[in-house]
Amino acid sequence: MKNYWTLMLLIGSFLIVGCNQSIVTAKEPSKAKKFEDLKPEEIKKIQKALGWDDYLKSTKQMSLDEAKKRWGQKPFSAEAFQKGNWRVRAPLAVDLLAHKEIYVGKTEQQLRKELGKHDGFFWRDSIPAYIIEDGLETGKDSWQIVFFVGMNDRVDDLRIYENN
Amino acid sequence: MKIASLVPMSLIMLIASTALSAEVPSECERWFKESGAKPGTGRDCVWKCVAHPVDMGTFTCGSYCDELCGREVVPKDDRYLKGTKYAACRDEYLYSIRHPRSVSMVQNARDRAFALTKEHFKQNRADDESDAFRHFVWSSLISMESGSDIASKFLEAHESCVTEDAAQEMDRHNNQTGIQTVEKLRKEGRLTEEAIVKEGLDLVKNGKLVVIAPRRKPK
Repeated sequence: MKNYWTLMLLIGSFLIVGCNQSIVTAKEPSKAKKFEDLKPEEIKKIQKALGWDDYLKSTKQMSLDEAKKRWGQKPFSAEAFQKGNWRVRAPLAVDLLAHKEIYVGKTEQQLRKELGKHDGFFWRDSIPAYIIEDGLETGKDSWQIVFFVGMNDRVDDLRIYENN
Repeated sequence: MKIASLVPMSLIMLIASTALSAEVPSECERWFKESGAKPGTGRDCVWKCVAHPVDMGTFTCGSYCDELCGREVVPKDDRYLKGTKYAACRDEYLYSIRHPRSVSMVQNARDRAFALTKEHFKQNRADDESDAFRHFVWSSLISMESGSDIASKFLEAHESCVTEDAAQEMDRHNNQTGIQTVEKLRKEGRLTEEAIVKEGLDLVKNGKLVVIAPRRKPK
């Protein structure tokens, strides 16, 4: 009989400890969350809170036609782009904008290998952006070509934005 | 009996969910053509599509009706996620979900750091003095508002998607200098944004912040 109650006490203790453990886990479910568990709505909400949407809307973008008028267009060469200064890069960047397929789908690693380390800045350090007009030299606005690399580490899109 | 019936059900659900996470299967495209539904006709297309009979080979096809009808679909896999790397790193998303109250403060500090960098360096660039100053100010402002612990954790999450070691080291050093400067200013009782900016500009001028690609110092 005594053994029976000892056993029951032991089982009871295990149950209490187990319940407490699950309550602790339930209190902080997000601690166990992985990136893959995030819902698209949650991601969208964070992006909005971080100000990404506003940044995109408020940063001046240049169309292909405007870019052609401003810098002209020369057939793209990765070597020339990597070695050249912004004056060399600008007409090549216009050609890239006209032929996005040259880089869309390429990996970020390939992009960096072919174009070198980026010198522009768009929203965060890890977004590759290359200066194609330096306002400090011209006294006008500064412009850059920005490569959007997705979660799959491949270029999704490229655009010309003002550097600000 | 009940457990026995759950096993095949789970298997069916597993197969179906695997099928749904992939592109539209070719048998579903054939099945869709047979349905007579016309893409671009909106809900009519979807109604016709979902009402079309299925068999063992096409039993998941109804789930692709939105795609097959050319309608914008609610993202259920990484179609939306593939664009997320632009806005934040994986660790930043997780940090933001766990600390929703600090997100807007971090964002305000970032906006302010961008603006102050533009004011003093005319541009925001990568790896140069403007980059060093921006990180210094950003980490300082977060630290001033929420303390060094939140600043360290968020900025570490932010650095997790920087792939180059040198750039990461530069940012980490400058972030840390910002956090330490705030502690110093707080102890001295003169912690203000103006004091942070002055300290940051002095540190850049005196070469105390890490800069990989020097371009120009502030005036």
